[in-house]
Amino acid sequence: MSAAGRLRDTRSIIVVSGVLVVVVLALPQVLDAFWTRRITLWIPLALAALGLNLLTGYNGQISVGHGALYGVGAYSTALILNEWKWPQLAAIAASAVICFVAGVAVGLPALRIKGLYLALVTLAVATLFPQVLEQFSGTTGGSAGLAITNQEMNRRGVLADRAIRVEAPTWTGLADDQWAYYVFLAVAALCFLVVRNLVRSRVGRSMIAIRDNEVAAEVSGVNVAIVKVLTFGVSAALAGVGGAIFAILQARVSSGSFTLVASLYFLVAVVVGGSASIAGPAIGAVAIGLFQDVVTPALPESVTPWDLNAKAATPLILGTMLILLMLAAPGGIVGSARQLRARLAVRAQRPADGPIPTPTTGGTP
Amino acid sequence: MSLLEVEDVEVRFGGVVALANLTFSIAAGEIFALIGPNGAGKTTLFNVVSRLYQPSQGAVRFAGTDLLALPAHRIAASGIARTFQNLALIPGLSVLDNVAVGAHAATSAGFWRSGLRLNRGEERRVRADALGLLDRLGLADLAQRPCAGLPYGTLKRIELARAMVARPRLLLLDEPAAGLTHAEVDELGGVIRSLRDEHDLTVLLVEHHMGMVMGISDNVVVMDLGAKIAEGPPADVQANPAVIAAYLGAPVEEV
Ligand SMILES: Nc1ncnc2c1ncn2[C@@H]1O[C@H](COP(=O)(O)OP(=O)(O)OP(=O)(O)O)[C@@H](O)[C@H]1O
Ligand SMILES: [Mg+2]
Repeated sequence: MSAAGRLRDTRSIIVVSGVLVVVVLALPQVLDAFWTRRITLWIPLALAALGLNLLTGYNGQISVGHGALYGVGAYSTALILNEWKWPQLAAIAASAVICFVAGVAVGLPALRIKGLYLALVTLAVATLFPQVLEQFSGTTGGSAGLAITNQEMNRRGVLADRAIRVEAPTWTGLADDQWAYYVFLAVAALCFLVVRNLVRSRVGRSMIAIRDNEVAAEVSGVNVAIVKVLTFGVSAALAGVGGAIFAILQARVSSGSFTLVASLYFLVAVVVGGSASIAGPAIGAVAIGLFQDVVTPALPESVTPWDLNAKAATPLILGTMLILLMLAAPGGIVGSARQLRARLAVRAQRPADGPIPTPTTGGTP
Repeated sequence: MSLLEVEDVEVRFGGVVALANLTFSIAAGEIFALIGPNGAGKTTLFNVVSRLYQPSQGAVRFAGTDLLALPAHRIAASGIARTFQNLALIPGLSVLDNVAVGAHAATSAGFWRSGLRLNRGEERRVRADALGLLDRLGLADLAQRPCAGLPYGTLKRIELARAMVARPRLLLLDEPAAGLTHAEVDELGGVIRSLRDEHDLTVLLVEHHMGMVMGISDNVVVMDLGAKIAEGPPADVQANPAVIAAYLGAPVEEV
């Protein structure tokens, strides 16, 4: 690409990201409290997808067990807040550490096994996790769930359990919902930034090298085992931050939220957004959020004459979409956008440069 | 003094003896060629030195240290780099990043420093080194391109850049001239020689292109069916009847 073209490209990226930042920041001002709460719940989804994308997209390790790791983050936060009354951000950080350790433990078998066999191990983790929660329902509340509460003085001056909230400091002039959105958006932005730094570094190069050619990585001096296991840990920590935020927003955790279906949603978010890209998980989370909060409610409870419940069939619909998308646009939304940009760049250059130049910014294979 | 010593090395794959009691040593600063017909065991020897294959007997020493005591990922840091007969590039990375992967052993930023961007100085150095080598090999224009889709000869040179960026003391080249045109082969021979001179390099070269082998190497080992059948300066080896027989009676130059 010519220098002028690259400059134009950089400038349009800056403009687009600027507009996006403004829109994202303005949303809670424009939306009502209900919708602000809904879109805030997309943030933990984006974080889980970010973690899964680091593992699967960049490092080539498949996991369908991230729903369970997300759950470990959620339950850690619930227990820390209920038992020790830590500040919420401290509970999130502690959950990240706990999930890192859990991720390393789940990732250890990956040293001996690969590909589909690893997927099977994570499948087992995903399937067993809700059952373990049931087993220890004394602590976890099982499928009935566990409320995250604080003792607070009620209006009549009596101490009573009250569901935790994210309280906006008065100086902000924000409603609690708006504050929660901004705080967790900031946490997510920090996580995305760290992952971006990571994938563009020596560590990121070795992750991708392992994904594409393990022997080449090893011969170049990469300690494949260490990188794989640590990537699993970091990936789990990110999912754990998502789970922790999810728990705080719901003020409650229950085993039904952390089933295999949750894992599949994360996977769909990665594939829809575009794997091995930084924006992909965020875009994928928005797509899934829109689907869950806008499309699903619009579906009929029953479709006559078969009396099908379309709402209950959403995982099926999502799964079908996933398969179709993988066939039609394997690069996801980000990949398709890159391809489109490359094609437009080619068209823009044609009159000046004569023969059609080959696109150099095409989607990664 | 010899830099690499291969002593009585044997490798078996089931019933196949890929290396049979192979012994030779390479002096520091040499360009040392390893030749022999297909299946002679040349790549197998590279894989032993890279620690990808475990020999059933024998010893391999590099600058006095026992290589067989090291895991594969520690070989690069000890000063050995290599290229692959069938290319082992990373299609998901740009040309520049592919070369930068080669600097892994010579750098240290881990998860912590990388995630917090405390690696900036090191990254700058790696990029400068990688770009310098790409430039040296006439590939600077391609730095930002994805590797996928580039011509075979170009990919071979990218691998050479990746091997060189770690500033190795010993460079193993597995058929670097395969797929190149005559002019390119001559140029490559010159490049290998000058890299050796500029970087105090020792080169172990596996190559079927006899013109290049005879032109640039100081010493040659000829292998057949896993065993060494001749050793010496190029001219001696070329005239050796056992060598001529191994190459099915054809004069060596024409193979
Ligand atoms: N991983 C392996 N598993 C089984 N057999 C192998 C393996 N690697 C090499 N061999 C066998 O070992 C012998 C030597 O192979 P090698 O690849 O070292 O030959 P080479 O000298 O490099 O040949 P070429 O010139 O064709 O590259 C061959 O018989 C080959 O089939
Ligand atoms: Mg070979």
